[in-house]
Parts: sequence; structure tokens; C-alpha cells
Amino acid sequence: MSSDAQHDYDAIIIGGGPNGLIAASYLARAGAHVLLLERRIETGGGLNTDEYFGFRFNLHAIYHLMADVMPAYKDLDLPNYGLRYVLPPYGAAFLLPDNRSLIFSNDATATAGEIAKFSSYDADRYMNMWNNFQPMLEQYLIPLTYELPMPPLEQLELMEQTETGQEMARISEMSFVDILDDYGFENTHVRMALLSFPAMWGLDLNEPLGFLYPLYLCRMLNAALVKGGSHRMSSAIYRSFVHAGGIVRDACPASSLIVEDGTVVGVKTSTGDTFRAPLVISTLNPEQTFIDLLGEEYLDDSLRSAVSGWEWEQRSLFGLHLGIQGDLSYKLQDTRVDNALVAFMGLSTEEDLHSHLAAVDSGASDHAGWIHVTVPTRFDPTQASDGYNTVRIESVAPYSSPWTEIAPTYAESCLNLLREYANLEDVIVQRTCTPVDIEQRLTTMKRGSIKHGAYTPLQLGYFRPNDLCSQIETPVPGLLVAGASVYPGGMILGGPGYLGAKVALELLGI
Amino acid sequence: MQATTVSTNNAEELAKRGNYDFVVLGAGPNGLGIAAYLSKWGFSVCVLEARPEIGGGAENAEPMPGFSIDPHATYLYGAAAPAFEQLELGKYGFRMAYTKNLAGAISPDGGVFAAGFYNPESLEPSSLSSLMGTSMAEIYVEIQKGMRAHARDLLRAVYYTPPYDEKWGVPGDDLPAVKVLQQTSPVFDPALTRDSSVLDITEAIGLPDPLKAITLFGSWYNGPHPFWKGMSIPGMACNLLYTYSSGSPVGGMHTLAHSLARCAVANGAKIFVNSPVTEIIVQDGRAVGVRVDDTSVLEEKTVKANLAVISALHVRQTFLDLVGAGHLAPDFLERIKALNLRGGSLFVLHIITTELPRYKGAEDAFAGDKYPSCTVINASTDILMEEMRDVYSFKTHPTDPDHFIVPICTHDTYDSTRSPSGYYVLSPIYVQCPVPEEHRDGPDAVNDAKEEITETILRLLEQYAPNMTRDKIVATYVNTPRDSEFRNMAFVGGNWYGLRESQDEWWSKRPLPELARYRTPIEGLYLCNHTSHPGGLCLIAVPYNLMHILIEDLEPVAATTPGWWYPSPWHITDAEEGTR
Ligand SMILES: Cc1cc2nc3c(=O)[nH]c(=O)nc-3n(C[C@H](O)[C@H](O)[C@H](O)COP(=O)(O)OP(=O)(O)OC[C@H]3O[C@@H](n4cnc5c(N)ncnc54)[C@H](O)[C@@H]3O)c2cc1C
Ligand SMILES: Cc1cc2nc3c(=O)[nH]c(=O)nc-3n(C[C@H](O)[C@H](O)[C@H](O)COP(=O)(O)OP(=O)(O)OC[C@H]3O[C@@H](n4cnc5c(N)ncnc54)[C@H](O)[C@@H]3O)c2cc1C
Repeated sequence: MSSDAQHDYDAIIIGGGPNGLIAASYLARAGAHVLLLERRIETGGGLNTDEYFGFRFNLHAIYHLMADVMPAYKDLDLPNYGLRYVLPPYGAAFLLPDNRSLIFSNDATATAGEIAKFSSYDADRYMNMWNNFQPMLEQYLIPLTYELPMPPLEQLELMEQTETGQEMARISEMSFVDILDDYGFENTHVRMALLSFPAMWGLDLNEPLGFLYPLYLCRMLNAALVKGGSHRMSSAIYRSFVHAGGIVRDACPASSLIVEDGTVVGVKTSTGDTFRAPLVISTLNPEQTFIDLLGEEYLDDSLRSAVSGWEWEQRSLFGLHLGIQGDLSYKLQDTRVDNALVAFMGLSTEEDLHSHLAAVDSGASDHAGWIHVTVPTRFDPTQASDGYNTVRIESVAPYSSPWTEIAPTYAESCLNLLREYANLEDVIVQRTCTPVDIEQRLTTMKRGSIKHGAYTPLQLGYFRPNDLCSQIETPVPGLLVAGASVYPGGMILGGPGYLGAKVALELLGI
Repeated sequence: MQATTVSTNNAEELAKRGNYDFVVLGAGPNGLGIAAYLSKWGFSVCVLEARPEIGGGAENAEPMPGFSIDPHATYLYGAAAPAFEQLELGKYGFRMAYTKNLAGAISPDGGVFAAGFYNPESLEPSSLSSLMGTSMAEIYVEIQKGMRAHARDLLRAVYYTPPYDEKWGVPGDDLPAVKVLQQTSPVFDPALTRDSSVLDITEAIGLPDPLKAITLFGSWYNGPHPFWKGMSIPGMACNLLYTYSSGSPVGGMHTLAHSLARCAVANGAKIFVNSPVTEIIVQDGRAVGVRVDDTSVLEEKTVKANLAVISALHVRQTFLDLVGAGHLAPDFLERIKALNLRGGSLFVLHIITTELPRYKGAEDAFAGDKYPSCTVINASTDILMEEMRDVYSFKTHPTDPDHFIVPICTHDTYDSTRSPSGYYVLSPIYVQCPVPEEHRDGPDAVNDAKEEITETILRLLEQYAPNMTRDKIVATYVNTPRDSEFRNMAFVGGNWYGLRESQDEWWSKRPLPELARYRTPIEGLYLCNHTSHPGGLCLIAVPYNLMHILIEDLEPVAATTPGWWYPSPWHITDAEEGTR
């Protein structure tokens, strides 16, 4: 496509995380002349894999819930650029203090069988719920992840048209706890497990976020790892972009947007470069996009109040990454837990989970009481040398703890908890990743907000990031938004970037 | 080469079939460089890399969020490389961060040297006369200025020309570098220069310490050992390399790899990481493809090469590990095994601090812009001698502060992307070590002494920069030669230049005379690693040189060379030589 003489590019994308990369690649492959600006030396954002003495640590995202259902996978021809997924046999295992375990997989009947060991009544409930969820996912939740959000009333109207939709509308208003009540789950261990699926992401179990539940449960049980580490996914998108003629500037932070006559026409970088384009797509968080880069003076009252009201996530994650010699095996008799993508430990009952989360929210937690653990090398040996393994331990944690001081003892507590449940041989290296580290590495994730902002009903769906910007276009001409703070939200969904590209292509007339 | 293949325009089509024109082993700067050249030319190219990340020695790491360290290469000296124009690396995001003053030196007796030597504008005899007397200073400056005026020519003659075949018997005075030097520095007797060592030259000029120490050091740390006879031209050229373009790519050396990789990918090359090559497949004396390890992401473990396999791995790996012994003559293999690794193994320390070191006695010399990117402490020729003796006699590693000189590098003063504000990264700090395999106390000796060596360096640093007390030090990280080798299998012996750069392993003899023109005894197998001429450093020189050879060999397949290509003016083709 031919660009205006005034413009260096057809579009400039700010931020080379998964969303920025996806948006960039779609545009370039459609023929647009695109520049991608990344602050760090490496694109990838949350898709980070760091090598440390031969161990590959996925310091941020690792579980790919939408792996091959995201349109980008096929549209951008990612396998051809080196992306491969690995699907572990079991999605999740819950290790209870009394040596029992509860194993979940994407085979609902098998999972119900596991649940039946705790409660046959709940096993039936599970089948019922799972079967209800599948059409919701297929007809609504997955496709709608890749369509612009509708205003709540329109959305409701749409859902009222089918039975599945009606059921979905019903649970949408509920909290995760409500849903379990509604489906009739009784056993406290089973409920603890079922609530862990949203809780591991820091979601509030009592907020009316029920429409997320089918995704968080069923997609987690289909979650994949990226072979070679999560960063390989970003490399594949990146290569598809570069191959299509896209230009990447790394170590090149955007420092301000250039505004002329109220329209965004380009970007200045802190390396002193200026680039002009009719469209600028920011994948940064709203505070960065509208205040740091654009400037408050360009915001009208409604946008200013929407931006200043942006809430960060209350809960973040503490990560402990181990490089070990030999294997990690759980002490349980049931060795299948070794083959679960994620193993949860530390809690037994639903009450434990609630009080644990309350402690996290009080900001008082100085040790890990609940961890989830993945041994990526078990499913993908390429992430460590022969005979060695990597272990990823994660714990939902507050941002506000004095992390520089307590990180070592907190890490120790994670390791101690793990050792209660697992035999592991020599720990050779260990790295921590505190909520403060997250924000230092990725400035988009302020206060350790891994989804760029809280998941509350007022910051989701049509309201993410706010009703003025959730259609990708913003009230400021020339400025689009397409990062995790935009519908459908954070994590590696490939949603915002896809939608960003779609809208941008229409605007560019491609 | 067989002309049975393919015109260049169905490159995409071929790649789809798992066949490529060229298969390149290793995605270090040299592998990526040749991949970029060939794909830009229009060939289909597949690069296979063992590690999870491209870059080889051009790598950065982030041991603490927001901080970037250089585990291996740190300075980019490649400004004379034709690749910057030919591959349009700027278009692919390459940007350089220049330092105003590359190096400073402080000797144990408090002598300080800064700026002048490295900064053409301030290169005035008066700035040196206190150090070496007026007449010597004038000669020195004349040489420097003369060389600098022709720097690009001289560098291209030394680095960016394929070595001549030893069999041609080209006389010493006709070698490109000697010819250029004759023009640039009439004060030099080219014949004398050619055969002498860097040490001879510094003594002939009468350089005093610490200038002498860092001149010797500069040569040693960039290739030729300053004692080696016959290496004064490349040794002095090293000094030119870093005065000609001193600094680092913005963000670190890894961004050089990025720009090369982007050029390759933009032109259709495929790069697969996590794909170690386990075998170069040879059929009827010809390299036809490679096998990758079973763990590779490639479902098809055999990757076929229609035109050639290019190994950008260490020459020892190429012939001892990847080509089956049956395809090579036993004496050839013995000579590969005997190649000397000594002298390039580095212990690398990285320090995160809350202040920049303020060097005692150098307050004025290093003020403002003049703060050196690389400050060499303990800069004394005597100490350097001790260090070389220790390293080459495999005796010890640096724990005695009187036995080694220490370059302390930082890019923070001219590249804001390396650390968050309020913090500084002193990275890398290089110290030479014996090759692990030859260490008196066994291959793990340096690893076992990590803390001890770090401690010695920290004490030395504090001695020279008293503000560097422990409370200013946030963290330290180390990578030893063993660690480097573990990380990058191509760094055999943790050696930064692959093979030592002595007269016997340079130009027409590097790595062996019959391999010097990048061809090998196996038809269709070429070399493109720093174990070939012109050795270590991210100069994009090996790929440029190899291009000359491939152009000759590809003639039946690719009738024309691309418009953007220009060869070295000193290049002699085999065909030309035949008719001379
Ligand atoms: C510890 C942790 C674990 C996680 N685990 C998972 C998981 O298992 N599964 C999952 O799906 N998700 C997970 N996530 C969440 C996921 O990583 C993010 O939601 C996702 O990366 C958001 O993508 P994005 O492209 O919108 O933004 P980001 O990934 O945040 O990328 C934004 C990019 O913009 C760059 N940038 C910042 N400022 C500028 C500037 N001024 N100019 C130019 N560039 C700039 C950043 O450096 C970054 O590369 C995890 C996150 C964390 C922190
Ligand atoms: C400590 C240190 C400091 C240095 N400092 C500088 C400096 O300041 N400036 C400078 O210019 N240079 C410096 N160098 C030298 C520079 O890094 C090297 O000369 C350069 O990287 C050589 O490039 P290459 O492509 O030939 O090989 P490499 O960079 O070694 O790349 C080889 C690649 O091959 C891969 N590989 C290995 N085995 C296999 C296999 N079986 N299959 C597939 N892939 C494989 C490796 O993983 C690697 O990526 C330094 C080196 C070291 C070690």
C-alpha cells in the first residue's frame, strides 16, 4: 500500500508483547507498512523465556489457554515460523495434605471419575456443568473473544435467542462461588479445586465474573505449553511480521505521541527518533497510553475520568524458578500427578482458599501458603539440558509486600511447601520473580498487574478499558488501543491484537 | 556446484518442501550474516540454531529485571563492514550508541591516560608529549592520523578480503594490508612491520605506560597476542577497529543479531532455534543436508540443502562432531584436533551498582563526556606480562591482584536502555584465564574460584575507585569460560575467538591452509565461523568474505550477482589466479 508522503508508515504499534506483535503481523501481512516499537531489547512482552545456566525459565506467561483456537495461530501461519505446542496429559492436579489427589483433564468423564472419589454427587454435577459449558464455549465464548464487544444490552439480546445463550446469561451475573452453589457442588475439596482455576489468576471469587468461568476451567484443561518456551511463540509472530516486511525497533521506547490538530500523527521515542503514521496503536496500559504518551491535556472530561479511574489488579504473582538436577516427583502414590501441567498444593478446603486469599488481600502475606507448580521440562525436555529439569512455582501474592526484603524468605517458603509434597534433587539455580520484578521488566504491568488492570465488571467486556475505547478506536483520532487492558483482556488470548488489526485494516481501507 | 538446481525465484516453493538452497548451521553473527546475504540475494535459506535464542556471542541477558548485561561480546567494531550498506541493517533496526571516549587507563602508580588516544580531535602531540617526549609524540600522532585517514581501507584490507591461497605464493609485500599501510604510514617500513609483533612496535615508538599497556592489551583482547611475531599489522589494526567505531549497538550486542536476523527473515529465510544439528550428511563426497536432534521443533529431522551446507560452528565441531570421520582423511582430522585454543578464554564479571566508579586521580581526565566506556585498571606492561605468562602456562587464574589487569566496561553513559535510572551496570569486566581443559587444577578450577576472583576484582576496583564500597554494589554475576561453552557449544574452550590468532592461524593459514578460503574437503560444505579468517569479533567479515567464494562457485547457478553487492578491491578469484 502506498503511504502518504507525510507518513513514514501506515501504522505504528507501540509495545511488542503478544498483542502488539499480533496486530503488527496481521497488518503487515495485509500489505500495510508497519513499524513496531518495543521498549525492551527483545520483543515478546509477557512471552518471555530467559536462559539461565542452561535452564530456560518462562518468567511470565506459560499456560496457553487459547493455544490453537486463537485465529492468529492459523492466520499468521505460526507453525511455519517455528511455533509448536505441547499438550500435557492432565491439565491440573490438586495435592491434598492428607495424601489424596484430585486430577483434572479435558476428558470430562475421567475427571468426573476422579471427583467421584470425593463425592459421587459432585461428579454428576461436574458432568452436568461441563456439558453445559461446551456449547457456551463453542457458540459464544471462544468466537466472541475475537469480536468487538457489544454493549451489555445488545449482548443480552443476542444471548436470549438460544437456550445456551440463556444459560450463559444466567451464569454471567454470578460469581464463581455462586456458580458452584448453583450447580450444586457440595464437597469442600472439590469446590476448592474448582475455585482454584479462576483464583490462580488472581480473580476475585465473589465478583460477578461468571461468564469467565467456562473459559478458565475448560480452557485451562486444554492449556498447552510452547515448545522451547513461551518466547518461541513471540518469535514466531515476530518472524511472520518481519517476513511480511514489518519493521521492528527494539530498545526503542515510545516517549510521546505527536498530536496535530487534535489528531495523533506519530510517535516520538526516547532514543530521539520521530515516526509518523496515520494510525498509532498502543498496546500499553491506559495510564501509559493516555497520560504518559498522549498527555492529559488531550483528554476530554469523560476520557480523563475513565483513565484516572483505572484500577490495577489487587493480586499479583510471585514466581520461583528452579533449575534442578534429576527429576521432581510428587510423594503421592498416584504418579499421574507428575504428568499434570499444573499441580496445586498447600490448601485443602474451600475455606482454606478463601482465608488464604483474604490474607493475600490484607497485604500481610510474607510466606507462600498456596502454590501451583509446573515442571515444563517434563513435557518439553528442550527447556533444560539432559538430566536436568526446570520447576516453576507460582503463588498468588500482593504487590505491596516489601519484596526486596522478603523475596528470599518468601522463596524459601515456596520451596519448603513444595518439599512437603515432592521429592526433588539438587536445586542448582533459582530465580525469583516478585510482583515488583514484573513491573520492572514490563512497565505495562504496573503494580504487578499481569493483565494490565483489574478484572472487575466495570473493567471487562464493553467496559474494557472503558466504553469510549473498547471498540479499539479511541476518542482521539489516529489513536487506537489493543493491549491487555482492552477487550477481551489480558493473558495470551491473542484477542486485543487481533481486534486491533481488524479495526486498523478497516480504517486504512485495506 | 551442481547446476541441477533451481533458479532463485522459486525459493519459497522450495522451502515449503523442506528443501533449501542453503542450510546454515548456527545463528551467531556469522551464521546470521551469511543467511542475510544469501536470502537477500534470492536464495532460500534455513538457519538451524541449537540454543533457544539466536545471537551466539552477540547476546544480552537480563539477570535482574530492567538490567541488561553482555555475557559475551560487548563492543561493536564493525563499522568498516560492507554489510551495513549491503544488507541495509539500518532499515532492519540497527542503531549504534557511540561513546565519546572508548578507553581510559590507570596504572598502579597512578598514571592516567584518557581520551586523547581515542578521540581524533584531541589527538595532538602536545597531549602526549608529557608521556613520551615531543618527537616521539609527533611520530605517534602522525602514524595514528595516517592510519585513521585510511582506516576503512586498512580495515577492509585486513578483515574484509578473503585470504589468498597459500599455494599462490603471493609475496608479502603484495598482501592487501601491507599495500595500504605503505600509503598510509610512510614512517613504517612495511617489511619490518609485517614481521614484527605489536610489542616491537610499541617499543620502537617508545610508548610509555599506561598507553603501552593498553595498546598491548587492546591487541591481546581483540585477537593477536602482542608478542606474536608477524602479527603487528592485525594487532595494530585492532587498535584502529575500536577507534574507527567505538561503542555498542543501542540496547546491546544482541540487537546486531536482531538486525541481521530481520534482514534474513524479511527476505524469506527460515530460522529455527532449539534445533541442534547432529550430523552433516555427506553423500558421494558432497554435503547434501543435515540432521537435527530429535528434540528439534522440526518434524522432519533431515533438512536438505540443494546448493550448500554452511557451517557457522567452530571448526572442531564441524569436522570432529558433525561430519562422519569416514569422509575425511585421518591426517586432516589430526590437524583439526591439534588446533590451538589457548589465550581466548575469558572470565566475565558483571556488577550492578548505584554509582559509577570515580577513579582516583582521574577526576579531571574522566570528567563529563570523557568518562571512558572501558577503564583499564592495573594498566602496566609488567602486570600484563605476568598475566600472559599465567594464562599461557596454564598455571593459574587471576586471584593475585598484581597479576592481572582489568578492563571495566559500562555503556550507561551513552545508552540509557541498559539499566533503570539510579543504577549502573559495570558489564562486562573481562579477565583472561587458561583454557579450562588445560588448567593446572582441572577444568572446573575457575568455576570453583568464582567468588574468590570476584572478590579480588571488587577489591581492586575499590582500590582504584574508592567510592566503590560494598554498599554501592547491588549484585554481581559471573560467567566463566566453562559457562560460556555450556551456553554456546560453539565457544569451544570458552574461547572468544575460537582459535588463537597467531601467524600460523591467520589469513591464508586460518584455520588450516586448505580451509582458508572457506571451502572444505567436502564439496558443498563451507565454513563461516570465527575460526575462519579474520577470527573473532562481530565484524560481519567472515560472511562478506565467504560471499566472494560462493559467488565464484555459484556461477553456473546464479548468473548475476545482485546490484547491491561489491567485492573487496583486493579480492583474487581462483580463476584469476589461474591466469596470472
Ligand atoms: C508472572 C506472570 C505470569 C503469567 N502467566 C500467564 C500464563 O501462564 N498464561 C497467560 O495466558 N498469561 C499469563 N500472564 C499474562 C500475560 O503475560 C499478559 O497478560 C500478556 O503478556 C499481555 O500481553 P500484551 O501484549 O497486551 O502486553 P505485554 O505482554 O505487557 O507487552 C507490552 C509490551 O510493551 C512494551 N512497552 C512498555 N512500554 C513501552 C513503551 N513506552 N514503548 C514501547 N514499548 C513499550 C513492553 O516492554 C512489552 O514488551 C502472566 C503474566 C505474568 C507477569
Ligand atoms: C567473553 C567474550 C567476549 C567477547 N567480546 C567481544 C566484543 O566485545 N566484541 C566483539 O566483536 N566480539 C567479542 N567476542 C567475540 C564474538 O562474540 C565472537 O567472535 C562471535 O560471536 C563469533 O560469531 P560466530 O557466528 O562465528 O559464532 P558464535 O557466535 O559462537 O555462534 C555460533 C552459534 O552456533 C550455535 N551452535 C553450536 N552448536 C550448534 C549445533 N550443533 N547446531 C546448531 N547450532 C549450534 C551456537 O549456539 C551459536 O549460536 C567475545 C566473545 C566472548 C566469548
